[in-house]
Amino acid sequence: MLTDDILLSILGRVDTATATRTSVLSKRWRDLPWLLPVLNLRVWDFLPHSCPEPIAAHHMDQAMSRLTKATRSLLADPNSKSTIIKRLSLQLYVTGDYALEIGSLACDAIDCGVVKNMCLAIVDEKDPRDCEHEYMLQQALAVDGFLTAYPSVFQCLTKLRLYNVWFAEWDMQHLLFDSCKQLKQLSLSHCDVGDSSVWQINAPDSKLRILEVRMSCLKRIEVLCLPKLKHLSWDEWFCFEAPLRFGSVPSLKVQGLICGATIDHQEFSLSQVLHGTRNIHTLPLARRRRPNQWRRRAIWRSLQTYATTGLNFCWIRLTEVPAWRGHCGC
Amino acid sequence: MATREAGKKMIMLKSPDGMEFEVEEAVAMESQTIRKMIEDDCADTAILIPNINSKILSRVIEYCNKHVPTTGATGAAASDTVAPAALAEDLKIWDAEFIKVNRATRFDLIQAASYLNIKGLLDLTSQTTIDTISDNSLEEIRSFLSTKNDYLPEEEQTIRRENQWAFQ
Repeated sequence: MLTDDILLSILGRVDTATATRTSVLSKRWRDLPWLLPVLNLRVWDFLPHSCPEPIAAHHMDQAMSRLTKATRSLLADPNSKSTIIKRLSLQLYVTGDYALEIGSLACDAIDCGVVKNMCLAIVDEKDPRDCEHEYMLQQALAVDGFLTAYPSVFQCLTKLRLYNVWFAEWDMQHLLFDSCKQLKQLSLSHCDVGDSSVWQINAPDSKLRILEVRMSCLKRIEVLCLPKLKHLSWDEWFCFEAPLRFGSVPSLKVQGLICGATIDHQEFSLSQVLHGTRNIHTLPLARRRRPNQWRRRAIWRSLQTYATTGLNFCWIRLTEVPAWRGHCGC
Repeated sequence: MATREAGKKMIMLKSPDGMEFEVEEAVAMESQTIRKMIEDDCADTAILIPNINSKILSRVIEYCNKHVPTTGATGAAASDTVAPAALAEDLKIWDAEFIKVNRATRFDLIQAASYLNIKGLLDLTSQTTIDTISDNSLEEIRSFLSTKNDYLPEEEQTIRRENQWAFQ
């Protein structure tokens, strides 16, 4: 006979609907799903089985409807809850009224002290290649509306993942760094502040440790100050020159770059994208489709130059990776 | 007793049925529970492992012995000569053989892995239960877990109605 602790650890590793179904196994199982210390409410788990791609709007709507019921059932009446939810992972589409109810339920649970830590993924099903600027601006308004409506969410948000957002209408620095003070991991898929623009990050109080950028039309990211940043990766950039510039990043240890292959990139010196860093020990570099673009000799030469300026130990991996396929997981 | 054998520090583990197992400290420290005891200096004499009989404890030690070289400090020598991918493949095959035990033994191993806090062993032993819960009907899950449905039909209906979203 397994103890409740072990049953909970097992239920924590199946999706929430499956875990909840076990409540009818026997009376002993009745309350277990409501005692889970880690709660994963993912809209993708509520899409119909064998849902054709691209996912149709009515399927997204159905999934959000079920996700809302699940959230209502598992987070409703948080004052009477005896367990603390150490981590609430929420993945949702932000369009429609369902997101507002889910946000409000999460907010109440945070305010009662039931939820201590939250991960949020605001997903979008549109192929980045089909996203017009207007669409990304709308997405931005919806994301901004959702986040600013629930300030409590900011207080315990440790992980944030966004898709297809055009950060032009409001201050990205303010939203992502000044408001989300606990943020440790930020993943931006096809998010921009405008084509060929420069995103400057200056957040001396930020706790951000991991920054992942995918498919971005940004010209450059300038990390002026992110004291805790340990891992930075940029999967596919499209501009011609060195994509990164660093100010104060004393904790940065891993930097990953994957280069898009649709246009000819100018060669740049590796020391340009390493300047300002002191502790990098892993530097995966890759480019897609045209393997000769990264000139190994040139990289080694510039690395040797860099080594004399303070690189402690650097492990470089040069690889060719297959073309970018769709969205990555939550 | 903590003793030394061929330069390696040894730790004595005792099961409640009186059996004693002398194991390398590095092997014993695969268990986070034991690691903490050793680090807190609570391991000068033999460590009694409550609720885990000698049959199960010996299997747990067997698992830790197999897994220590890839994760522990003594692993450097092994991974210098064998490619990490081959090593991982070998471990996977070994794990698959190790877990070919009857259900009662597997549940005992889950309890032991949980108490001793050995993540790899807990993942390995729980996987069948996780798969059964994920992929089977409620009746099949009950049979796998030897659980009897003690609800009245109307009680079960109420739970299903209240959580319709999970049963669609």
